[in-house]
Amino acid sequence: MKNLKNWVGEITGAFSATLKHAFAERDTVCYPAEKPDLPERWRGRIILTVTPEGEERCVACYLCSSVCPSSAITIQGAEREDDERRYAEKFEIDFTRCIFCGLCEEACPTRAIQTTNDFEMGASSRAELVYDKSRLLENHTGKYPDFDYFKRAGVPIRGKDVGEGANEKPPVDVYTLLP
Amino acid sequence: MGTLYIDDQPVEFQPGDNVLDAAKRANIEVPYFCYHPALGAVGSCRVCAMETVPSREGEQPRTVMTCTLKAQDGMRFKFAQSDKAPGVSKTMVEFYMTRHPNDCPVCDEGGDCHLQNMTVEVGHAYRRFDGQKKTYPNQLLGPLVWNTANRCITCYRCVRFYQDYALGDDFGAMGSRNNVLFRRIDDGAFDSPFAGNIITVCPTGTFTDKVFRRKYSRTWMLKKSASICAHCSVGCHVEPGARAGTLRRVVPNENSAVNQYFICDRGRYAPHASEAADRPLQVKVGGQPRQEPALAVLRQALAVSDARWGVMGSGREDVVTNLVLQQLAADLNAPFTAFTDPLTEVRTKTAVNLSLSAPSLQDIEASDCILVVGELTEHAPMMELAVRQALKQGKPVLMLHASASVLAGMIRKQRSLQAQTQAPVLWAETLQKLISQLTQEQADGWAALLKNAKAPVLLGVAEVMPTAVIKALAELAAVIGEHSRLGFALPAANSFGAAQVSQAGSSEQLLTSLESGAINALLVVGADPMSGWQGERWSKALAKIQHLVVVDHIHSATVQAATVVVPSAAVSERNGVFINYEGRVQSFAKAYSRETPVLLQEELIGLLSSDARARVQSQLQSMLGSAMPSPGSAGNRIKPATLPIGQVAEAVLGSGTALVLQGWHGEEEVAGFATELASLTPHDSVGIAPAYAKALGLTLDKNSRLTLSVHGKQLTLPVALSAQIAEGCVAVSRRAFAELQARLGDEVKLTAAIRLSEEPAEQPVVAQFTPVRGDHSNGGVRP
Ligand code: SF4
Ligand code: SF4
Ligand code: SF4
Ligand code: SF4
Ligand code: FES
Repeated sequence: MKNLKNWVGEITGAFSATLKHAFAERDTVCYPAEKPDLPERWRGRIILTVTPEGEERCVACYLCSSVCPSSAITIQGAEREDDERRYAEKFEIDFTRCIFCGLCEEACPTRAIQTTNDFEMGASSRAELVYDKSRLLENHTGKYPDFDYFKRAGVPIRGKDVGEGANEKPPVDVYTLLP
Repeated sequence: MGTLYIDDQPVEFQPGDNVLDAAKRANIEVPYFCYHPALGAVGSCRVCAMETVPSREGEQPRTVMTCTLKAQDGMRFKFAQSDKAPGVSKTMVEFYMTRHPNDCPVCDEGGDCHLQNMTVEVGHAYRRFDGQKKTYPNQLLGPLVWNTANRCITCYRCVRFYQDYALGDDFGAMGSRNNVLFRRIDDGAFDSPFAGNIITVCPTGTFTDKVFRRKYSRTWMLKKSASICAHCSVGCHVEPGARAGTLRRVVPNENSAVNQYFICDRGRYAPHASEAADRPLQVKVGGQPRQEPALAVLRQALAVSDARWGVMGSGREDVVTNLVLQQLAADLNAPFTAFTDPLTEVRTKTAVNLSLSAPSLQDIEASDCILVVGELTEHAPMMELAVRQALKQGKPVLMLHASASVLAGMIRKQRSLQAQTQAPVLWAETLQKLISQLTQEQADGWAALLKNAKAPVLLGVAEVMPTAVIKALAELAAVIGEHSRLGFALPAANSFGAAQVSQAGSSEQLLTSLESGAINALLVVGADPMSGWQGERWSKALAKIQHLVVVDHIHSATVQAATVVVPSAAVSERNGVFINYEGRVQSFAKAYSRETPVLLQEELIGLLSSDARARVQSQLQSMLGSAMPSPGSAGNRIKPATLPIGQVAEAVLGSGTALVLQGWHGEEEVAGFATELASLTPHDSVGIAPAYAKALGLTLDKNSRLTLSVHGKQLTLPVALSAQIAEGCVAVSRRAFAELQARLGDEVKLTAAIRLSEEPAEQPVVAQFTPVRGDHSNGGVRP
């Protein structure tokens, strides 16, 4: 008897839930005519960003490529001819491998690599999904409008010599014997 | 042997260990900075702290620095369980980090950084100090080492290596109080042949590899292997690191048998010759690129109908390759040699025959009297570093040399060093004198030192020693007695092995067969006969023939003259076996493959008939024994039967001026193609002793130039006056020898040429072995 009661209860409960949802407001949108509204922290297409001054942020530290669980990132670093500013000579993300886990963004010490809320990356061949630097690099600062790693690093770059970075005293005089 | 206890865990230790060593051996992760097994403990960083456990009633526990404490049986410490010690370490690390720059992402040491590891280990994760950081100016240190001064934690390891271990004096701790920094007085390249090791000992990114910097990659991404240095006969253990099919860096591989912790700069930077822009990477026949596999092209080339072949191996190719080539020659009924110069062949073989009790580097370090004949630094740098260890302890080092040498140059500072500058033709006589003094029991001076020593070591440089001198040195060793050890720096990494596979007089035979037209085709693997000692004869002989097939990985003169070029693998790109100067058989493993395939020398066996293959196997067996040493292991020493040696005329004592070799420590056949290292090649000059110049009636000063004439060839070079050049000799570089088509000991006529008064004074004055500081004016081209 008790069993029967449960059984009827479950069936009516399920049907009523179905009925309720049949008339509820829709969450599905008519994509692609209508675009979904994605949160800022969505992990979509990955970009490389620049500093507020418009310089490439990535210093080719290889941390993102090392942390990437699917080995989607290939980098070769280089140094600018006339100063010690490091940059990625080659930066490739193979989006056929990327699982959009966002670990690269988390690992990046310079806030260069960032995920965006763009997911429309359809392509007709695998090769097209391997993005090189020209397709990754965007001319804006992404989610961090102010951050500039080289201001905080100790290495000298054009326009910032040793001792001119954030929190740095001018270099000591090597030749002085005075206290 | 004994046992001590850390956190109640028993830890075994070896005699001579300190507590830190013992803990490391037991894999207990004690932080440390200033301690280094080769450099010893100074107890300055205060990081390796542990707490003692009182053994007696009333004793208080103390916090001690474990690196300065000799391990003793039954000692007890608290490390992880201690309340105080980890705090001490953590505070110290935090203190070191207060002014450390935020450089990890752009620092080449990152990921392979002792400071990073220790900081993480003690748990110092966030900077609390928000004051201003002190900064230090960087210094430009030439093409090999990069300096970023802010990263220093003043552990003094670099200075302790450079000054105390390697006895250098152009780099040190500068400044006072807490403004100490580590640099040279002037910008520019280091004088020491071992400077690259400060990169290895520095626990931070203060000193980094400048060549690696250009093609930087995180070290954990590198493909590495246990390899052997191919740039001299010492055979140091090295670890090449490569990525994406290119070599990125070379570091010493720790080992107990040969070089222990360090390598010389030649060993560190010469392998970058594999990345030279002109390296042959394409199979070419008659200058035209071919797409077929290298071996197929070789097979075709060897099958041409009108060819009568000769085959040449090389001391820089490994044992198996030379054996395969020897058997290939047997298949082709062709003469074979692994030497390009008859004189070098005789000298090398004579030396190899006498090297059966050669001292290891450790034996040299522990010796209490060393006699060096020839300019050792310029031929076998790490062997000389071992000599410096004896010198450092005040043990007498006696040296007989003919041209300027880094070791001889230390005579002013090192009181126990006695150097005698003398023409090579006189060395035999000097050694005979020593022998007669020793036999007649009236020893004084050098003879007395050698006689009274408990573990005397005699070292020679085979390439520059007349055969009579090599024999005299052996005789001296025999007279001193069984306890003495005799070793020779040989011309190439595998000269010992090459000597085993070449018959007596093989190089002369090959040369004369070429000259007489008995053979009209030559297969050369890994050798460059056209720029060696007999370069002129080879060039003439090879110009006549139609088939010159060259297998090599450098753009040598012989490769340029070849009709068929087959690119081969550099040492880090292949497996193989070298035999070093002691007869130590050591194998090396491939670290990486290039993107464009090159011929691996081990593939050459594919050219042999099955008979010949079997012969290679059995010969290998009889030469090396059954057990092939694994890469990275100490290998085993072989004692081969005495080699038959041909005869060759040596230079005799004449009344004129003799030409001697002025080497430098970064010089070697392959090293010349390593752009950065080669950019330090000293300017060509002619070295002459001021007193001798005066005796010849030449008035010379630093702006003078001398014209050398040998066999009708002339060459004018700036003069380098140096008291380190023997009387009766002038010293010139290998390049000048090649240009003059001269041989060691040839008689030369000197005439003063026009003065170069406008030229900057430094250029010719710099003693020849000193790299011209910070000078890249020769654009990095090879000498
Ligand atoms: S999102 Fe994840 S998988 Fe994709 S590149 Fe970054 S780390 Fe790799
Ligand atoms: S982690 Fe950031 S800075 Fe480092 S290589 Fe990746 S994108 Fe560049
Ligand atoms: S430069 Fe490196 S090795 Fe030298 S004291 Fe500083 S941290 Fe130590
Ligand atoms: S001493 Fe010789 S074998 Fe050792 S690293 Fe130097 S060149 Fe290589
Ligand atoms: S390692 Fe012991 S005090 Fe530095």
